[in-house]
Amino acid sequence: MTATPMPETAVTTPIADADHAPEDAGLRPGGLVYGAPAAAPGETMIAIDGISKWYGDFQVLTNCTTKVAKGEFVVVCGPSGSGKSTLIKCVNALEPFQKGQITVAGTKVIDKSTNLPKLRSRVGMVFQHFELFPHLSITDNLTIAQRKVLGRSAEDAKKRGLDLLARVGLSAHADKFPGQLSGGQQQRVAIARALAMNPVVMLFDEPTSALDPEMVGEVLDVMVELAKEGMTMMVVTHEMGFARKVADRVIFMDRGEIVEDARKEDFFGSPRSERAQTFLSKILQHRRYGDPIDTAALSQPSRIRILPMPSR
Amino acid sequence: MGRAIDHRRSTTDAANDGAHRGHRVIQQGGAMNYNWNSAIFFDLSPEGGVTYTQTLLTGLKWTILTALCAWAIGFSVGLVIGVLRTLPSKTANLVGTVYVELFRNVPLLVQMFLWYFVLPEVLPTATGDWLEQLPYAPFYTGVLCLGLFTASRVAEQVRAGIQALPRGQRMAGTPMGFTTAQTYRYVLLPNADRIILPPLTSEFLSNLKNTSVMLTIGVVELTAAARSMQEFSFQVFEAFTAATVLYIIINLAVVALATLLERFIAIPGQR
Repeated sequence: MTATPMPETAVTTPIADADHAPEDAGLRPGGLVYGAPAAAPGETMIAIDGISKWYGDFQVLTNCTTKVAKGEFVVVCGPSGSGKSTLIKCVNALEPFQKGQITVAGTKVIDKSTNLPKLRSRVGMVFQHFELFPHLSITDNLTIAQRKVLGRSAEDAKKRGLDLLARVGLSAHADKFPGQLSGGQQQRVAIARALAMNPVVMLFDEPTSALDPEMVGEVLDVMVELAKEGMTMMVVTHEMGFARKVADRVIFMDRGEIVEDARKEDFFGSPRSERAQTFLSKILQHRRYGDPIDTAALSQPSRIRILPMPSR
Repeated sequence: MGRAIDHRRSTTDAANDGAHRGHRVIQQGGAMNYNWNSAIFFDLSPEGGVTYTQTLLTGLKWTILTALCAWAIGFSVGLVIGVLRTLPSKTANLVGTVYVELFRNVPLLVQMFLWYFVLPEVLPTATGDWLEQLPYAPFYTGVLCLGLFTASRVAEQVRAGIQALPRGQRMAGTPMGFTTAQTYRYVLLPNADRIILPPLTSEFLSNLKNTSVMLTIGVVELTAAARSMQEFSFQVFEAFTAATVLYIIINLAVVALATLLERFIAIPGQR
């Protein structure tokens, strides 16, 4: 991993402070209501209950059920086309689904009385391609939704935005535009932008897949920091090393189904399904060419076979 | 009517002769069919106390005024119609599509006649009479007609601009909690507008030149002024050379302004 740009001493405001949400934080009565504290540790923050989704005749999600507790770090993995990105986009109704229900901090996603924009504003989302607003400066990127959606004053929004920018180590770039930053920097701004809204949950959709390898570390560092502060996170990623280190739980998906939903020790130690085993062995085979073979890993009582590179 | 046709034939012949003989014709004065007379611009026109130059400049003034008013309508209506065509709602799409196909597929000249000659007859008598007696009726009718015609073309540019944006950009506004209207206002339109500024400049130039069609319903804009100068003075070369030069100057000025605007709204770090 590259050196973390985060100054250790500058930890004044925690990145995640869902518990100190402003008075307008309520999504609707009964949910994460008007200033009431978010769910206590261990309480369910995201409940995905039997959802299915079709594109025409093609079923992309089949009866997916899982729960994410407050403060939990859940990694969603699986081969491409397995529906993991779709699943995570259903959590804030970015993708509609036809069956089942998702509840975020007590608020039902599919419900006529739910104010979807308001719900979404409290569910942070980070995309593979950053999706910063290209025509706005970094500062404006961080403040526009705070002002227009949460109704914060320009000063408050700017203060919080710049605070978070400092936390991701990019204070010097406040007046630049997204096109002037590297991919890794843009992704850190995107994380800060999501955090500026005081989210109760953060969703990451392959946050490092579009980055040059040397920039992956700086983004993962920010996410680790966030996890340490107790943010509830659901992360779609192919970074299995990262998942192994940070995740509490791993959800493995294949062909639109949740095949495995296990603590990370169990998942990496002894995946039960054959599909997960195949997936893991494929991913772990991708050692860098010339790396020494990890003989210790080979002798682990794991059912995954790590194949040596073919000799030339 | 017959007279007008004869007259046009004679001027065309004169123009052909002139073209065959090249500039020598102009220099030799009396020995040729056409007599270039620069001083004509300072002669008084029979319209009462004004020189032909003033006639042309008054025409230019109306051309600019008409173009600006029509553009105000064309741009704002076009923006709305263009957005309608990109919304997820089927009804909105249909409204937008019907508008665009109606207004861009009928020749501007025919639309001009429909608005000016047909509409007052179709309306209830009182309303129709009121319309016809309105001061500057041709001007208002022409501006409205040209504006709505231009709107159909602007709408297509707007639609193309929005659809050219990466799908993720729409995706980026929504999870921040923006409503659809806010996503358009704060994300999609500012970016789409930057993409479509160059074709929109062309559209504005077309709009400016299309004002000349309004001479058919009696607005004395630049082309009509040149025509009136030609009819009174028989100096067809001078009249239309002047009109040509004025059109080019004003259009080049628009292009220069658009280039400045383009530079002004350019996003740092892009291209």
